[in-house]
Amino acid sequence: MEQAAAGTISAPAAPSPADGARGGGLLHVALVGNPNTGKSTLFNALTGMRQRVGNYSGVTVERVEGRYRDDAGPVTVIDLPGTYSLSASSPDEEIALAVLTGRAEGLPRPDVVVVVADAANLERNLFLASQVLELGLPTVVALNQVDAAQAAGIHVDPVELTLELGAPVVATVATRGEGLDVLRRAVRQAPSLPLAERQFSLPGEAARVLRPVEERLAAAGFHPSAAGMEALRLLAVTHIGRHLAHVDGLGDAVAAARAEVEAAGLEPRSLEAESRYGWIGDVVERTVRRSGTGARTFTDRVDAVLLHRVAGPLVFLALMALVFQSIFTWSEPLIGWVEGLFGALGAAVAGALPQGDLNSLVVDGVIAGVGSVLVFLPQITILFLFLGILEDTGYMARAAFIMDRFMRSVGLHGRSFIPLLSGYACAVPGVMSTRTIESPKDRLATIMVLPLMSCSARIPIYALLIGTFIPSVVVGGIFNLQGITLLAMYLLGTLTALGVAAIFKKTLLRGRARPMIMELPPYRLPRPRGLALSVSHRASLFLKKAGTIILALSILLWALATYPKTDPAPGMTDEQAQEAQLAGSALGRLGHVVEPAVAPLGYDWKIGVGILSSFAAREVFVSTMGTIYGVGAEADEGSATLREKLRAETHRGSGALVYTPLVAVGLMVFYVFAMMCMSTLAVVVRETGGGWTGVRWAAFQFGYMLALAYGSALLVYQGGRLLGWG
Amino acid sequence: MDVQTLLVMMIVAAAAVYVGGRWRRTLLAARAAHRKPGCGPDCGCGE
Repeated sequence: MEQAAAGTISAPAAPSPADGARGGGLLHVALVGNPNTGKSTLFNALTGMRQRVGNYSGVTVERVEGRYRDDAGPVTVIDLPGTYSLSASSPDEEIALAVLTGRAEGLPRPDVVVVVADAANLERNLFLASQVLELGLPTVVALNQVDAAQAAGIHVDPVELTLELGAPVVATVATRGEGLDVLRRAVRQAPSLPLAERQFSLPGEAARVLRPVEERLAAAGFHPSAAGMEALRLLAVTHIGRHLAHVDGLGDAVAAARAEVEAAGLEPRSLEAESRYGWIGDVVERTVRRSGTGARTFTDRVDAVLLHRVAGPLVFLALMALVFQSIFTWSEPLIGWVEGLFGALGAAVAGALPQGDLNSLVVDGVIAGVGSVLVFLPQITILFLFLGILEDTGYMARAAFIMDRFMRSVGLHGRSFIPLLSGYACAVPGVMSTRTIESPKDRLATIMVLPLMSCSARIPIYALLIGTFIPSVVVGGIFNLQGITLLAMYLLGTLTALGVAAIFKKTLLRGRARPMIMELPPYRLPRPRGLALSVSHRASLFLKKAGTIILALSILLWALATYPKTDPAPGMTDEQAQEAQLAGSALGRLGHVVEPAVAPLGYDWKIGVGILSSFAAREVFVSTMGTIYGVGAEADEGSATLREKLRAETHRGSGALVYTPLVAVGLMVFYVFAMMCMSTLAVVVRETGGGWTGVRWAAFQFGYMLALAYGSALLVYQGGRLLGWG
Repeated sequence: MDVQTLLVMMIVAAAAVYVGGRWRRTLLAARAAHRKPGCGPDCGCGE
């Protein structure tokens, strides 16, 4: 996938209004639209790419670029973040406006803009469309999701709408590829059509007082129509936007215009909205026909239950419990199969290679290390399949609605939900998607708590410990203790994230809570192709990570566990010789250094080493265990699996079991809270300002999460022992 | 030094170089904060 450098807006530069398509048949097209209009789906359908799509708003948070070719030549398409207007009040809206006005660094001003409008919500979508039409750029309106609109009894006349807007309107169903050929032809022809102009007029006084602002913008190179749009927009905003920073005296001119508008008895902040929506109301009346009796739709009836104040959260919890339970129930046979596969592979390689360090490196380092992580591929695949189904059906948007109540109660912005939800997959894109949050304090609070959401890297650890130490017993008739334990780990992370956010919002990052306006999409059946793409993407990322960084770290850990060599004392059994070798190795010595720090948590030095190595990435804990318990062991068809070895592990001297259910739960709690991911730390540095400012925030986050992890694991273990559970 | 030991040393050295390179790239990406938002290694966000 090719991505443009996003988020950068150029320094003041000479304006470059588009005067039509560039030569050579190459066309630059920008795709804009409200969130959840199927914009990313249309982008994928046009370009054949696999940009992530979701049945909730806010999926696209930065520019993504793709290409297709028509009869006249290549076309470059930029998918911009979803935005309700060009007000530039949040970083992603500012990026969209900067691209459309030709001030985005490294990107030319687009030759054609495609506004993706949801046919079922035309009134709201036309606000953005009317702003884009005034930018002085050839524009095509893709009237998307016409099938869903018709099913809801909403019929839009594209021809009539074309006449009203002064720009071509093409009906599309992006999910089925309908209308794409017509859209591609309209895009190619758009530069040769007359540019659309403002279709409504402002009150006489407002038009007069805005003229000096428009003149300044026109003198700075803006198309006259774009100058008009910007002048009207500027009346309502507090910051003029970085893309206008080069226009001399603009702030003063806007302030003077605002004062005159107020003196004329008009409200500057709502002038644009009132003017545009007045015109939009007339357009909708002339172009939209509604049929049906207004009876409650299927979506309304289902929402009456799923969004109910009491039933909604209960259904949400029950659904999640069933999802987590099925992860264990369904994946167990597959895990056994993968374990057998790696066991047989290890035995085959051990037999084929001559005895020595190379044999041990391949069998105990590579196969045991990487294999111990790869056995959890089935669970990761099943989890993302279920999450994909929930997302595709539109349920995740309902989950956001249910969670919004809790988020507001802790002072978090409603827009924080989508980044937090992304954090369940990976914290890195989650941190990046906080760019949709306007308030810097809300954004920072969200970034600070986001890594507490259990990401997919924790799944191998949870799966290993739950599958090994938590019994598979039925709870409440239909639930299973293993699934409930996994759900508890996810809930623990989520509730702690909300609690910590509440503390931040009352202390370091004080500010008022802002409401979220979120559109609830209609329920629909999941699309198998989209689901397959999403699940295979997650699986391939997991495999790639196992085949690169985890492989390399497994090799290094094997070396640390193998050297320096310790000669076995006379009379030692194989097991004692293996233990002596490990204890005398560099890894063993390091482990014994950290052992006093982790002993209060109930851990031995091997777990301490696993925790240390997983500072690079959490899954490395599992591969470290695989390597530690693999080094020196005989590999054959009957070799014990890692799970069996962990169950049998005892403390030297006392002979007591190292891993009890209490230790396992404590260890999982530690990983729920600990910030052990280099990639996330790096992106936090960058997204919190970079340089020393970013380093300080990342260090603070790392520190508080480590303290939380250690304290909680200590509380679980020592508290459990006091209660007689350990 | 036998061939096996040499091979093992080369593999371990290659792994060390790879891990070091990954750390370096991650740290450099963090330092380039304002210039080019993008992704960390293996983050899953598409880069």
